[in-house]
Amino acid sequence: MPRRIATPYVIMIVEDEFLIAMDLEITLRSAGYEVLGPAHTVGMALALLKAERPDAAVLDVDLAGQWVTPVAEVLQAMLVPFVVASAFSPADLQAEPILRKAINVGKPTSSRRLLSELEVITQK
Amino acid sequence: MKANFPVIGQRTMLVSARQLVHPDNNSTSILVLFDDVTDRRREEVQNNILLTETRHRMKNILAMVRALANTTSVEDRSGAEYRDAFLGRFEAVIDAENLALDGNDEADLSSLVEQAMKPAASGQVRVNPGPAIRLKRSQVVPMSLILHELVVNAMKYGALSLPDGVVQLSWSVSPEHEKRVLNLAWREMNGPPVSLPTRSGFGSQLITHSAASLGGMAELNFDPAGLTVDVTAPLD
Repeated sequence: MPRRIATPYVIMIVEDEFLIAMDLEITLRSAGYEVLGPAHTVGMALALLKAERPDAAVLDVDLAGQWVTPVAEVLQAMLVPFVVASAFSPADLQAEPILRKAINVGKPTSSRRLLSELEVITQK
Repeated sequence: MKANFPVIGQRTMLVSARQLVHPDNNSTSILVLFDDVTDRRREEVQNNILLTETRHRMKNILAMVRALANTTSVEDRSGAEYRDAFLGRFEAVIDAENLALDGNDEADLSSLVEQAMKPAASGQVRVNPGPAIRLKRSQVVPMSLILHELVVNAMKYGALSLPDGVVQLSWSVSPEHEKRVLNLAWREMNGPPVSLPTRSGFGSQLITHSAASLGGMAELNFDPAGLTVDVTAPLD
């Protein structure tokens, strides 16, 4: 179950395409999670992280031409686990080890896959 | 092999060699072939880039279709109603994309409005256009979905559900912190009495999310005399 006693886990969504962000938000909320964001840009994601520490995050890689790497680095420093939801293949992410090493739940993102990976990383 | 050759410059050559064999004597000559494959190689690299880009775009389009399916509410809806709502949104996205494609990745707000208001009976939506506005591709889809949701909701529950109902749609641009801000106003009149929606319908959720993706906001006011919606969004 994605819930702690009484308080649900907070998952940050970073995705620039608003329909896909809405899709992820609905998927997470109907599974009982709270959502931080969605952040459409690297700047917005970093600003959210200054104010709040989520329990995990779902990251798109290419945010209108800007890569999500700085957000992944901050999350790693904050010890917040994250998954990547991207159409990129591991070869495309060759130059970004922090993203390549993360679990990529793919795009289009299957709800089942996303939820089961989140359940695993929030339990760690 | 890739090398700098005199006169012709850097080329990529495919090199192969074979011994020339004669039936009688043991020949000591070999034939070395240099095949200039520079252009072929360049084409291959470009095709690979194009293929990766196409694959990426295709996955994004599929993700968007998935998103439309999942963000269209199933609550209190028959299968047919869900299908119509989903296809309506799907078509609004396709129409918006086509408009942006025809306009070199841009579209006029007035053409977008005209296209989105087509489902309404003629004369029921009175458009009072403001200044000409070119929307960028990233702004066209959210704006198209906002207009689509407004007209569909009005035809189902609002002013456009009655023959005498009227919608006034207008827009203006105002400067704000050296940026231009679009104000789009939707006013429903002579419709059935308006009450607060019983559930946070995904129609209004789609409108507010679309406006947020434009960097702006949407204010929905369920005035008993008629729904009013104000969308503000920065243009620059």
